[in-house]
Amino acid sequence: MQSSYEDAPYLSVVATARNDDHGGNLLNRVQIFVDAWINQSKRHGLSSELIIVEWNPPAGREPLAEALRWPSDTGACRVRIIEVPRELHARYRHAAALPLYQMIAKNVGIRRARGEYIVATNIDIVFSDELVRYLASGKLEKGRMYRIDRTDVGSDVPVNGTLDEQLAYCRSHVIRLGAREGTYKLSPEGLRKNEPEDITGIESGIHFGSGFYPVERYRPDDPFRWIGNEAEILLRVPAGGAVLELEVEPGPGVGLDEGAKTLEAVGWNGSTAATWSITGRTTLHLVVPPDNGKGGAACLRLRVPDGGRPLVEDPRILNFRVFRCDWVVLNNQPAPALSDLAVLGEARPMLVRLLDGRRKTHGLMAMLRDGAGLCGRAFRLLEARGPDIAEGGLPFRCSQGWHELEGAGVERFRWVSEDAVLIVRTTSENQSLALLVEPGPGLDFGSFVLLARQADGSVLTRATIDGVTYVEVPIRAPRGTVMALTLTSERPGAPVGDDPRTLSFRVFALGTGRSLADARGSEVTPAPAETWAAQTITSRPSEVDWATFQEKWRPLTEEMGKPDFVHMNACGDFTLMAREHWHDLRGYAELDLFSMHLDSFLCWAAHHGGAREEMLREPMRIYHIEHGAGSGWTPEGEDRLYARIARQGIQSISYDELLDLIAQMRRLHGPVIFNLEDWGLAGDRLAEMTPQAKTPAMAANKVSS
Amino acid sequence: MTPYLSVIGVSRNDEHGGNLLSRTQIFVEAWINQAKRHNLSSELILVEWNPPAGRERLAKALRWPADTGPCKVRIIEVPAEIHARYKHGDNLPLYQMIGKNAGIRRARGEFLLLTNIDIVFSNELVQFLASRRLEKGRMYRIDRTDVMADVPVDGTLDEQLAYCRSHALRLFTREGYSPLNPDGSRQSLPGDITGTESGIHFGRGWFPLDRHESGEAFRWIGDEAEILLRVPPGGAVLELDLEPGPGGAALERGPYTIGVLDWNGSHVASWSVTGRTTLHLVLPPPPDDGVQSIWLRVPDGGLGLVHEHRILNFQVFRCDWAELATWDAPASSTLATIRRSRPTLLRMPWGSLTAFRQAVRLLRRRANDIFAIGMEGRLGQGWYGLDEDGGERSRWVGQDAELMVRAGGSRSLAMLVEPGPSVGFGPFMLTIRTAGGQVVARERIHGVTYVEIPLPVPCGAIATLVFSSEGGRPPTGEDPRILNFRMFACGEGSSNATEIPALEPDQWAALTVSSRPPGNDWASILEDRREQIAEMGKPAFLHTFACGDFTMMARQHWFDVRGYVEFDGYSMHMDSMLCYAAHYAGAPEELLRPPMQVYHIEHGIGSGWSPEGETHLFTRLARKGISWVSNDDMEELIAHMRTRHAPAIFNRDDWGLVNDRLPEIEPAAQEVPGMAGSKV
Repeated sequence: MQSSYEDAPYLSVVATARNDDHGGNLLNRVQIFVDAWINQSKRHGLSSELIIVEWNPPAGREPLAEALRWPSDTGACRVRIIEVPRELHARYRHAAALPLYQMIAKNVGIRRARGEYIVATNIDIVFSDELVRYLASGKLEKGRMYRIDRTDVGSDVPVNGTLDEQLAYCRSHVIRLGAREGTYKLSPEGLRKNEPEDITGIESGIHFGSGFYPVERYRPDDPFRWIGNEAEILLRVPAGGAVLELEVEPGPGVGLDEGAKTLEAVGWNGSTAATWSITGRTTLHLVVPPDNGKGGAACLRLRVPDGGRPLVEDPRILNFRVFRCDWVVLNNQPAPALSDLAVLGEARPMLVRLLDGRRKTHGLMAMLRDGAGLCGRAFRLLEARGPDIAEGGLPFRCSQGWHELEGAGVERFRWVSEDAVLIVRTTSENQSLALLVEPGPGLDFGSFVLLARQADGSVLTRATIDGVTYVEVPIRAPRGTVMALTLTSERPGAPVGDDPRTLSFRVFALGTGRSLADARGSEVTPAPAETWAAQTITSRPSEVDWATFQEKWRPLTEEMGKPDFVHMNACGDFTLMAREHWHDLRGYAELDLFSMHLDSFLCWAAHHGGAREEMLREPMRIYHIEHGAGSGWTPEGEDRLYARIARQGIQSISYDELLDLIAQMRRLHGPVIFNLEDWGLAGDRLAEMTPQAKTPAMAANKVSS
Repeated sequence: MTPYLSVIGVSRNDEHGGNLLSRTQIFVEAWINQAKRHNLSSELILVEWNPPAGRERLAKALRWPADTGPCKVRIIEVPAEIHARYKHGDNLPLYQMIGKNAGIRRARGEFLLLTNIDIVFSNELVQFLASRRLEKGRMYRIDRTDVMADVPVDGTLDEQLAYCRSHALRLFTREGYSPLNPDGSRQSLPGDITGTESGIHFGRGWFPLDRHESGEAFRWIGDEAEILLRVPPGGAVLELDLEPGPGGAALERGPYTIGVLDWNGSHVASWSVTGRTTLHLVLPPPPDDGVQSIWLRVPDGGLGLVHEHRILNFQVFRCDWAELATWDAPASSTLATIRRSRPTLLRMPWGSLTAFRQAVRLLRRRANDIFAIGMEGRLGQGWYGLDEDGGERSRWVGQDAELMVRAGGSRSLAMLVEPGPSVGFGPFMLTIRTAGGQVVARERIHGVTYVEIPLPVPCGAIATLVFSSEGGRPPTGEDPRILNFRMFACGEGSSNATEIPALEPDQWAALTVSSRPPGNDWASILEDRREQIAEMGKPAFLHTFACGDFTMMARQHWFDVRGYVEFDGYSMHMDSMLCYAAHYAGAPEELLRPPMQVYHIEHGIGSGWSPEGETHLFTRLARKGISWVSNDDMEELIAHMRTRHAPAIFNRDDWGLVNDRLPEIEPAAQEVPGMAGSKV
C-alpha cells in the first residue's frame, strides 16, 4: 500500500462520468454536484480533493473540463480530472454495449486518491450542510465504513442558484428515501409512507421507520412487515394515551429452537416499556401513555433482545413478522333508554344478593345502615349500562383475561380469569370506577379478595367479594386518561370440570362511581406520568415452521453468529472509509460486467474486512437528483433496466450470487476480494488535469435560450 | 543476493504425525544436498509455529550441515503469543496456512515453492528447477507419490531416493488418489469396471471408482483418459459401456463424440454417442508385448458444473475385453453334408464345379451356427438370428452388417450367400469394406454364390468387415427388416497369399453395438444453471490433490492472491482454493511430469490428510468445535471464480503476519546430541 502523501487532503471525493448525456440533463447535474461540493468545502474549510474519472470520453463531445464551468478559486478543494481513454475501455468484453465501467472507473480514482479518507459517490449527489460540517470536523475514524440513507429529490435543482438555494430546493422536493430496509416514498413530514394495504389503518397516523421492512405477503390477504433487531414505530399518541394492538409471529431471526421469544417495547424516554414472551402468532396490547405533547411524531421502538440470527438465502435479519400495528378502538356505546321500573324489576334478585353479601361481610347493622345507598349506586350502575357491561359513553376495552359477554337483560355479565386487564378512558377527573362483581366457580363461589392494580403494579383497591359486591376503584387521573387496570383475585382460581376456562368471578356492570372527594377510600398514589402496560391477548400456532425450513442451513448459520445486515441500498452514492481500507479491499471488484450489485458487494467486503458499517444519521443527508428512468437505479426504472441488460446480453452479478458471497463472508468472518494488485488500472499511465476557470459553452447556451 | 527459489515449509517440534524429527531431517538434508548437487541458488524457509514449551527448537533438534552450499536456511519463529490470538489456538497447535503465509511474505526468491516437511524431491525435479526454466504466469504442480515411512534418515541422498522409488504406496493425481501396484501402475479396485484379470489399468484422466445408488460401478472421465493395457498378439476387441455426462451434455442433447488416440498418439477411431451405449474398439496387433497406452478423448466436452469442480464428460460403466466367439460341433462327412444341404446347393448356378466343391467344403466345416469350426469372430450390427427354416440353416443380413473375424493362415474368408427380398432376390453387387472404408472385395451375387475374399490383416489379427449391397431397397411388405442376402456358411478360405491386397497400417475399428436412452438427461437436470455453465465456458479442472505439498509460482503471484486464506480454523481446502485463485489471477497451472516426482513420507493416521485418516480427523475436529471450510463451500467458491473469471481473495493487506516482527535465525551446524545421538 502507498504510504500517506505529503500535504494530503483529509478527504477525497471520487466519482466518474463521461459527457454522454447519460440519464438526461447530465451536464446540469454534474455542474450542481461540482459547484455544491466546492462551495461546501470552502464554507466548512474542509481540505479535500474532488476526483472525477472521465471514462471513455465520447468522440465529438467536449471533455468535462471544457463542458462544465469551474470557479477560479476552488478554496480548500483541489479538482482532478483523470481520463481513461477509449483504447483502454476497448479492452473490455462488453465495451461496445457498456460505455462506462463504473466500478473500474471509481477504482481508478480511488487508487490515485491522496486523501486520508475516500468517499466514492456519484455525480448527481448533493451533500447536506450538516453532513459536510461533520466531515470537516475531523471525527472520521479508521475501522469504519460510513454509510447514509439516500434522499431522492426532484430534478429541477436550480443549476444557477446559490448553494443555499440548491439545498433549500432539495429539502423541499423530497421524492423518496433509500434506506437500509428498502426504498420508500416519504410523507410531507418526512416519514416513510405506508402502502395502500399495510399493517396499519389508513387513518392511524402510524408510520414505520428504520428496522421495519416493506410490506410482504405469503397469502394475498395477509400483509406483514418483518422487523430486525430494533424497529421504529412513529406515531402521534392521542391525548390521554391510547392502546396499540400488535399482531406478531416469531421468525427465524430469533432462533430455531422451540420456546417463547422475547419482544420488548422501548418508550420515548429510552427505557423498556413492555416485555412480551411470544409463542406462535400472537395479538398484543400496549397501553401507551401520552407523550406529553412534544410535538411531531413520537418514536416507539420494538426491540428483539435475542434476535439477529441470519439466514442463508436472505441477507436480512428477520426476527418477527408484524401483521398488525394499529390503535385499539375502545368500545363506547350509548345506554339504551329503559324505564327505571323495568330495570328495577329485573334487578331485584341481584340487589337481594347484594344486600345478602353486605350482611355476610359487614354484619346486619352495616347492611341496614348502608343498604339503601348501596342499592341505589348498584342500581344506577345497572341502569347506565350500555349493550355490554360498561356504562354507556364510557370508552372501555376488556383486554386479556376477559370472556365473552353472556346472559341477557340485567343478568348480563362477563366471566373473568386471573389477571384480567380492563382498559378505560376516564370521563371525568379524579373519579372512581365502580364494578359489580360476584365470585364464580373458579373460586368455589366463595368469598375472595379482589385486587385492582394500575399499570405500574401499585394496588388501587383491595376489596372482599362475597356474593354480589359493589366495588369502587379510585382513579386519580385527568379526564380522558387511558388506564389499564388489572383485576386479580388474591386467592388464585382454577378451572372446574370440563370447562378449560378459569372462571374466577363475573362482572355485571362497570361505570363511573363516586367522585374521589366523596369516597372514603384509602390514600391513592397517582399513577406515574408515563405508565406503559403490556398484555397478551390471544395466541395461536405459528403459520410458518422456520425450524423445519431452515434445518439444512443450521450448521452454516451457526457459524455466522449474529451478523449485521449491511446498508447496501444506494451505496454507490456514498461509501466512505479510510484510504487504507480501500487498498486493503483493492476497491470494487473489477469484473467485466455491468456494475449491478458490485457496490453492495464492496460494502459487505468492507464490513467483514475490518471497516464496520456506521450509519450517518439525520440531519446528515445526501440528496440525489432524479434523472430519467432506465439510466440508473430507480424503483420505477429497475424492470426496464434489467430488460435492457438482458437485450444487450450484458452479464451482471445476480442477486443470488451476491447472497452466496455474503454467506461466505459471514461464515469466514472475512472479506472476499476479486482484484489483483494492479487494481484501479495501476499499471496504466492516465492523463490527469486540473480544469481551468472559464465560462464554458454550456453556460452560454443557457443564457441564449 | 536474491535466491532463485524459496522453499517454504511449516513445522513445530511436537512429534506431529509421529516420527516428525526424522521426517523433517530427511526433508532438510535432501533439499540441501540436492541444491548443492544441482547448484540451485535457494533459500529454505522453515516457519516454526508456536514452538512447544519445554521442547527444543528445530534449530537445535535437527542436525545441520556445516556447509549448506547455495542454499541459505532461515528459521522464522511465530511465537506462542501470536498463536494465542487465534480462536482455536487452544485446540489447534499449528495454523499451517498462516504459517506458510508468514514464510511467503518474508521470502526473497524469484519463485516460491510451498511444500511440507515430509517431502523429498526426485533428482530430475531439482535438476529442472536448477535449469532456471521456470516462467512467470505459471503455477507449477505435480503428482505426489506416497512412500513408506522408513526412509533411511542416516542414509545418503541416493539411498533415500532409491528407497522412495521402490516403496511407493499410492499416487495422488489430478483425479484423486490411487493405490499403486508393485510395478507402479494404478491398482484397479474391487468391483471395478474392468475384470480383475483383464490386465487393463486406468491412468491419467480417470476419476476414482464411483457407484450409483443402484450399486452399479462406474468411473467418470474428463477430456482425455488413458487406458493402459497389454494387447494380446494379433489384437483384440475392447468393449466400452458408457454414457455422456454433464461435461458434454449440460447444454444440449447429443450426440457427443468420443475418440481414440492410439499408442502413437494418432487419432484412430471415434464414435458418435447418444444415451447409454456399448461400443467396440478393435485393436490391431500391438507394436510390442509391453503395456500400451491408448487414450479416450472427448473433443467437445469440458463444460464446468456448478457444485462440482471436476469435469465429467462420460460415465464409463465397463471397459474390458470383448470375447470373440468360437464355434464347434463335429464335422460331418461330405455325403452327409450334401444330403443335408441339398436344397441350398441345388440353387447354386450350374457351371463351376470348383465353386460347388468349395461350397461343400465350407458347409462341411460348418459348426452349430453358420460359422466354421475353430473360427473366431463376432457379429456386429446388421445380422439377424439363426434361421433354420425348412432344414436350411442361415442368417439374414441387412445393410452395412459388421463382422469381426480373426484372420487364419490363409488370410481369406469364404462365404456362401444368396440374394434376399431387399434386392428382389435377383443378382446384386456385394461390397465388402474394412471398418476404415477400404474396399476389400466387390462380388456379384447371383443365386447361391460361393465367395472368397482376402482379409487385409496379418495372420492372427482381427479384421472388421462391413457388408453392403448395391441397389438394396427399403423393406417391402409387412416385414420391416432389410434382408439383403442370407449367409449359409462362413469360414476360412483357401486362397493363397498372393491375391491379398496390401495391409492397412493399423486396423483400428470403432463399432457401436447397442444404444439405449441415457440414465440422466443432463440438459434437463441442469436447465436452470444453463447461463452460469455457459458463462464458465470450458474451465480448467486443476490438480488440487495434495497441492499443499507442492505449489510453485513467481513471488508476484503469491502477493497478488495474498497467499493462502487465513481462516481461523482447520486448514482443509485452503490450498485448493489458492490453486484456483492463482489460476484466475494469471498463473494457470502447469503440471510437471515424471520422472519429476515428489515423494511424501507416510506418517501416523489422523494427523493430516491421508485417505485412511480422513474420518478420524473430522471426528476429532468436530469434537473440539473447530470449523473448517467444507467441500461444498470450496465448490461454491470455485464456481464463483469460474463464472466470474476472477480469483477470490480473502485476506487483507496485512496477510502473512506482516505487522509482526518475527524472530529469524540461521541454524548453526552441530551434531544434535538428542536425536542423532540416540540413533547411534
